[in-house]
Amino acid sequence: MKGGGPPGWAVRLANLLVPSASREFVLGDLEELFHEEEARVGPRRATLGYLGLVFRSWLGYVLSGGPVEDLVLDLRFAVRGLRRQPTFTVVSAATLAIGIGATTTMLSVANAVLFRPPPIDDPERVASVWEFRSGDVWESMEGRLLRYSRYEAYRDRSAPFLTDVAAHSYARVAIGTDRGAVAVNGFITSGNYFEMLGLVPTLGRLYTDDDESVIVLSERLWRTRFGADPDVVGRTVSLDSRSFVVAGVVGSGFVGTMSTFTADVWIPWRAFIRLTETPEDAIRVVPLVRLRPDVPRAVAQERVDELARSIEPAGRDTVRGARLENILWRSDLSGVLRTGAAVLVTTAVLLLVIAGANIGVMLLARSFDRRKEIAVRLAIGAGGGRLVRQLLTESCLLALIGGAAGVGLAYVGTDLLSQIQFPIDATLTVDARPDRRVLLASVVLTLATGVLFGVGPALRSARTDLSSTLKEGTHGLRLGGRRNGFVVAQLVLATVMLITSGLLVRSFREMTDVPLGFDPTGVTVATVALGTHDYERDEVSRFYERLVEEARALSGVESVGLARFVMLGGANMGRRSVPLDGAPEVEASVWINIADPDYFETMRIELVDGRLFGPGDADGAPPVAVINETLAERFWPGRSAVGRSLRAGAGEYEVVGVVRDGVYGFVYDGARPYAFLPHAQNYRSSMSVHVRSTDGSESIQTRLRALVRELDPDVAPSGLRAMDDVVRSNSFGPRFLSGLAFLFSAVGLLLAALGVYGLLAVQVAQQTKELGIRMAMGADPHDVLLLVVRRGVRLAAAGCGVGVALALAAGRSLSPLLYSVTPFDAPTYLLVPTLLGATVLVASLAPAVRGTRVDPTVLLRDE
Amino acid sequence: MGGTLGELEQLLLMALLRRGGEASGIDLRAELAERIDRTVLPGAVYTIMERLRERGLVTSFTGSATPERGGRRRKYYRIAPSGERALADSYRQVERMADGIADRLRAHWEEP
Repeated sequence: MKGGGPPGWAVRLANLLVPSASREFVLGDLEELFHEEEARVGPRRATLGYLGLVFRSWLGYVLSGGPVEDLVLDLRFAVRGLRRQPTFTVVSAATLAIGIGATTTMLSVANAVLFRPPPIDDPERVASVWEFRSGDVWESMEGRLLRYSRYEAYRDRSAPFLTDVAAHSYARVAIGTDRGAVAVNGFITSGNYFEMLGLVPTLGRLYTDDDESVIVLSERLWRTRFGADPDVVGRTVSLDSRSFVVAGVVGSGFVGTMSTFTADVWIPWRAFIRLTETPEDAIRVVPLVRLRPDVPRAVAQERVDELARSIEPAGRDTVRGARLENILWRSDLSGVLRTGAAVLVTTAVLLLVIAGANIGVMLLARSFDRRKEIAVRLAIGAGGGRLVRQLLTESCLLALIGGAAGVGLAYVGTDLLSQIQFPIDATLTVDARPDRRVLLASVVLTLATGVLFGVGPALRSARTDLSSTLKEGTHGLRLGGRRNGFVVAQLVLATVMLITSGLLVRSFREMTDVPLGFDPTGVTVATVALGTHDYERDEVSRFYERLVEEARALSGVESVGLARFVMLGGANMGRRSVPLDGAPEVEASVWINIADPDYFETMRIELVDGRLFGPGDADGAPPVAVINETLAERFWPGRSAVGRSLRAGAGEYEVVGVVRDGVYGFVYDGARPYAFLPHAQNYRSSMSVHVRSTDGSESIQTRLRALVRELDPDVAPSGLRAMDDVVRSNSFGPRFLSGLAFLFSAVGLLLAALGVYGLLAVQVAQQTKELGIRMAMGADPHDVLLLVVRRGVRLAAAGCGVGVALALAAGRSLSPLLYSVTPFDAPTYLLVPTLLGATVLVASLAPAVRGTRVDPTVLLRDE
Repeated sequence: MGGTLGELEQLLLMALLRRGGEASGIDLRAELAERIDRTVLPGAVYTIMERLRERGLVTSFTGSATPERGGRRRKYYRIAPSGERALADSYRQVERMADGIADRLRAHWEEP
């Protein structure tokens, strides 16, 4: 025989947990199984397996296996115990509720953000087609966009290897609702779109290939704009001032097939083209394919590639092939978000552990208070195992009460989170209500907390030494080590949490401290898209001219500028660019914005070299560009860029000016190569108007909206916001993350402080006599105060020391979330121990003061 | 007649017969796991076997202590004539009920 069997403590635990009937044989079996497992997977996993069987045996016994009368008795015992000490019960249940509530909330968010699959049939078999087309398509999405006829060719010729091919496209549309026209996200799709995805309606029906002039609403739009009116089906609504009939509302929280836009309304492509009299080529589509179950993906990929080359392209295009792309569902978000969610879940679990440790401390204190009762029970013949099971039933019941309250809290919490209007253009909403998976996890966590933190105190109680306990008065017998251990563990975790969230907060501050390169304060923006309206090219230009003119005439307005994209607003266009009179190998992907001459003054973007756009840069004049410092330095290092030329995409431009660097995509991205082209030379049918004024943004927004309505009642401006809001919402994710992490660690610190307070209070109560004697002998109250406070400080020092070490060890995993702060940031590491020390000091003061108030005469009378 | 047998009771009695009519608790558990991939908690085996013993369907005896069991003994069960009869009755009921539909049920086994 090899090995000595499972560890002694595990066997002792098993001895206590396994019901007495057949215990010898069950334990023997468990030990034999342990040896088998040990030979197969090694001692550590064998021990885990052993413990698993022990706990399942116990749970099985508690839930059904053993005699039912025992369970009922245990429960009654537990209820009686908890009712006898209502303060204890309420405080520990509330503590647990906070822990479980936080954990469940964060698990729900993580579940919604990371794991919940899109509500369509077999999402893994749905993909999109991305063609490799020649022309001006480097690094751009244009290879994705096909003429509708080309999509139809895919659909007609792919039956042997694809189940079906649908198509989608995005358009901002104005929809007439009960409360006037609003601009919403429209998905223009093929008729078979819903069928291909396998969706069902919540209300009415979804359109098919045979439908004309109908639309389908998202559940969100239906609820927010149509008051969840069931009679909406069959109603005629205006969409870009044309009449459509509502066919139905799509269910299951389906928000479309794009990662960046959540859809509000779906429109069949044919109906949209016909009713809005849009030229067919204006609405290009992305093909969405469903793979056949019997055709391997690699084969389908090859056949799609062949098919792409066999379909005759229009115009001068040449197609070199195509690939299947996974559709980016909302559940596939960036690594940063994943790490962020992981941090939140970890923080929440740490919070739960701190809460659990609090319960552990309180249960230990209670086992001390109840030692006489327990000793009596043991003396009259209650088995140690039975007692442990009773106490565990009690701690589990406590955990379940706390857990139920916690899940309730989580519902409130996720509801609040769902109501946050994420300030992003792409109307992102998180539906984070707990689902079955999350609830199951919460129940498991709850019971685990009850068992883990109940088992220590219960085992301790069962080991009560009868004779000494029954003989002893109220003196002697102190509960040292284990309870200190619980409190130190709490402080360790609180330290780790505080350091983590401290780093996140610091990083967030750094992030929002970068120079923007423009001055957002006082600027209001609004996007006016005329592309889907019946406008000729020069009508569009006239529209913008008049809009700028009349906006400039509004009271309080200082200047008005136009640009294609709003800085930090989420949309950008990249063009592959090379310098024409410089080293051609330094090509770069340059982000391009289209702006009018007044834009720079309105945004207060500083000119560092050359000139800005002027009236001379008109249509037909030589094409010019204003570039930023980064691009100038990249293309013409150490020389002036003014007067030189560059090629961006298909166009060639002369650089007339250089402006100060700024941030363009995300606040924390830093500067990148950027160029402005004059609007007069680069027609666009969708522009954002920027208004700088001394009046509040609210009033400007109202007046701008009215102005646009006046110019054309069918046009609805979108994205009306103060530029300050745009900047703020750009850093919303990190701010949200650091704020929540900070909140959790603050609660964690509070719970840990409660733990310190509880421990010291109990110790002082147990020491009343000793302290009284000291006082009677003339001890200085200050010494007594110091005695207690010193204990608290020792706890804090131990907890902080270990916590800092742990945080240092775990620091590197945080790096992806940190912006210009190292995971070993000195201020954070100095501040957190100070904060923790101060909190512990405050927590130990009350018990210490109570210690100094012990009245020796009262004590002596008591004995 | 000891009344009818529950499903797990039937399976454990069959396991006992398969092992020659005499087996220890851990053997019975292993037989279920190997033959039909069913894992039962060790404690559950004894709970059920003890119930069968109280009904006189099996008898039990204990072996000697062994080091692999940390110095604990094994418990063995032996099937009693009444136990074998009760199992036969239960099995007959199953066969009778399956008469005429057995092929149809077996067809499901082919599917993954």
